[in-house]
Amino acid sequence: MGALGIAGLYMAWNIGANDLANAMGTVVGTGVLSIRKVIFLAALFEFLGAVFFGRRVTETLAKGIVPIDRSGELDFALPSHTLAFGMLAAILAAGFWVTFATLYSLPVSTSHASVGGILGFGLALAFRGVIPYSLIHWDVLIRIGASWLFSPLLGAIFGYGLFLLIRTLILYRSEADVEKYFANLLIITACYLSFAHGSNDVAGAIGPLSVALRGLGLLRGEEIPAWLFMLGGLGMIFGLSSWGYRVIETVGSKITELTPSRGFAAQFATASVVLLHSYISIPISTTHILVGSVIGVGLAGGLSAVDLSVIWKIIFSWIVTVPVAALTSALLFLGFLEGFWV
Amino acid sequence: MTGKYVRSVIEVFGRPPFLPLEEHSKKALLATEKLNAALKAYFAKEPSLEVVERLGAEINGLEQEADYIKQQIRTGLSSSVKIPLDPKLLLDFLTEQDCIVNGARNAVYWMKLREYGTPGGLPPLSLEIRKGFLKLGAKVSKSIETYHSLIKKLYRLVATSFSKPQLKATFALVPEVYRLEQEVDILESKLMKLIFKEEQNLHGAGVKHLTELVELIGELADRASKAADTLQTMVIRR
Repeated sequence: MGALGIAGLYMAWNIGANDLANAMGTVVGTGVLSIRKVIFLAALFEFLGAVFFGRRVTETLAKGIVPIDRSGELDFALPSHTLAFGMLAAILAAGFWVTFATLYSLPVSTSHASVGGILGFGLALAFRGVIPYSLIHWDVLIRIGASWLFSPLLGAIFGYGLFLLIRTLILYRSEADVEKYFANLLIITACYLSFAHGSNDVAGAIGPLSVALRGLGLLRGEEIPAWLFMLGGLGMIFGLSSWGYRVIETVGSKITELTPSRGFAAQFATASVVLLHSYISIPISTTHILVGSVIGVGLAGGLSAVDLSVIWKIIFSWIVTVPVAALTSALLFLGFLEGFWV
Repeated sequence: MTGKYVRSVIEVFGRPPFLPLEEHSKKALLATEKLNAALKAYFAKEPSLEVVERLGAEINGLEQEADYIKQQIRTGLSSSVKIPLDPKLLLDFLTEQDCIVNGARNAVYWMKLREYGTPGGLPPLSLEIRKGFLKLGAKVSKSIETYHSLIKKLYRLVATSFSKPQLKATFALVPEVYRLEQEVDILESKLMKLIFKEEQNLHGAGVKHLTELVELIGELADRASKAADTLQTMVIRR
């Protein structure tokens, strides 16, 4: 139970410290808000997003990939703590990979790693003959995989279109400096982006945790309780405030040419695409969508230079993350079973 | 391993070439100002070769700094980096701009090959010729100064995504650079005539030295004009 709590908190910390901080770094980069104000706003809206709109994606991670909710119908000849071990393995595998990749500055996604971790648990169950392979929700996995491919593209298209509109209708004609008007809008989009991020990314921390708690008999009823979302939200805020400010500082100080109008277009596009995916219950990477949106704004003439080589790194992280997290999770889970299930 | 626990989106922001271009243009301006100062020392009533030497060394330093910036700009423009202007035209433009610094260095080098009016040197030059060179130097300096003002507007132009008012303000300076280049041409032509007029006193080598020097100094304004032209094309064809 303690290990589960620590692993869940670590994932939440990681999401807040890096993913949310990256998104907020672009706000600081525009020079509109100070780091302290950004952290305050992001913490508030991240929490609200996690608590009030985080349920759909969390349900997908908890029950959408491995049919855990149908355990009664299955040949679950396993003790009650099997689910807890499985989810502990999934969180640890995702956490290990995210930590390793972050140390090497790879743009990996915690959502991708969580999906991989849970899939690994499902595959290990199938390997042990507990469930047939066909019972893993491959259709959901395909939908998730397709979204990982299309969501950054959608961010790019939206960012491109939005900035083209801003440029043609406002910037091209303006005599005076209009950026100050976008500065106010940017504060709103920063809140919007934090809310959207909270709604999608909280799942990576508490999705597996909720399953584990249910497996241990500590959660009753169909629905995941609100206090668990609050816990996830608080974990991400902890990550943001304890380490995220360094990431915000790094990102913010290096992005010097993102003016409020460009920042607005990129963030609005990112937040909208992320929220759309939260609505359709798909876990995606906010960072990858943000990269897509920035590229879109850049290609619409909003940035002096965009480096498309980052796309290859993202594709590499897509290809590597799921198999690595899945394999690690499966091995950990089987190891736990060998050690504890006698 | 970076050792920093950071996954960031920074890499998507490429290294924009526009501020370094401005910095490079600043080197060209400084080199031209130093060339102008060197001309004043060389064509003074009592010439000072020491001053010319010192300024020549300073121009060499500026040329090296400009080369470094040029390399930085080139390496930042890999095929994966997308900028709002044609990178090929931008590099052509950079080459022209680079020729201004190189031209200043070449002019000082050529100047130092002969000494007029110094103890143990050749007889002093006529006042008309000396004045002609000083006028030419001042006009070239003015031309590069105007060119640098144009380049300073480029960053703002890109930052505002080529807004109409910024485009107008930038393009308004281009004819000014052309006009100054034409004035430099006129001064060059007058000075050439003056040099050939004094062929008897200067002898063949003197004429060759001074006419070549006129060409080298005048070329700086030509390069600025060509660079301004490329810049305009680059912005129009974006």
